[in-house]
Amino acid sequence: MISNKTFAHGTKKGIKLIIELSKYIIPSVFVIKILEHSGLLERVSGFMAPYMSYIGLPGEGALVLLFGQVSIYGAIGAMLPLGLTAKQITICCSIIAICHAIILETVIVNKSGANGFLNAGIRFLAAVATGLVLNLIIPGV
Amino acid sequence: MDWMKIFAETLETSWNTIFKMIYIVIPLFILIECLKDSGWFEKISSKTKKITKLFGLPGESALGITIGLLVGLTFGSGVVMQIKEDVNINRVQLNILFTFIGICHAIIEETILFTTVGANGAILLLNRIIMALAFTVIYMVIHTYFRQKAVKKTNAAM
Repeated sequence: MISNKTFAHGTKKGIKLIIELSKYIIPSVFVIKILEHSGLLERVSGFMAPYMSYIGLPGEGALVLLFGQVSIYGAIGAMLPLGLTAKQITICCSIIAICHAIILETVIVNKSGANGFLNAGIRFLAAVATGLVLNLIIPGV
Repeated sequence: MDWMKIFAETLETSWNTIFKMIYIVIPLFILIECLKDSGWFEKISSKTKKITKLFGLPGESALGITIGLLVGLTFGSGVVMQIKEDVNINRVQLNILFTFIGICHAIIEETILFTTVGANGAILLLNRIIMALAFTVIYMVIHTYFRQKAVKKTNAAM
């Protein structure tokens, strides 16, 4: 039954998530800012740009996808300072939504008796497919 | 490098987002708790029975799929582990279940978080559900193909 306890519980969980988010977002933004100011971001971006162009992302997108393997909050933090377009944000988020925190979740899946590595492989393939398909069907840049 | 500038920019960018999320995340979690306590998950799991039937899973696993889909992978796998004690569910069925849940989980929370940073929620959600269904079916097809091959091989050997 819904009681006052339900609301208290929900608020508590929400505040917990905000704190958890801050723990990931602030360091991620900080790291990206350091990379940006030191000129390293440009070099990584230039190196990755030809590969990332297949899925419609700029070279910096590779870093966002990498941060997403720590946690989706990390990816959100890394995405903020980059100034991506609406299409790029949608593609980036779709990929991360499918394939995030893969190490942690492989452990969870393994623990419940299914094959975690198979699961991780399928998710990776689904993420690549998402990038390729969405890049083709979403209009705009 | 100008460290003061880096600190200032970091705080500005993070604060803007975190502040926006406070307004979204707390009501969302209250809503999820309300749904949980009002028994809505049990009700909706009769709808997800269609998915379990399509994938050849036992009907009891519908609750696991529902919780995984709406709340998160950790909770979902907890429910599946409980279900495993009551119902006979083999490794292949578990793989099918987790292929679906692995691609498509915590859809309420993650969709809303990504929409706050500017993603198109409809595309995000639709793509995720389609990918989950598609890759689960692909896994099933490939698995049956190889099993039939193995059965033929043993038959030929006999």
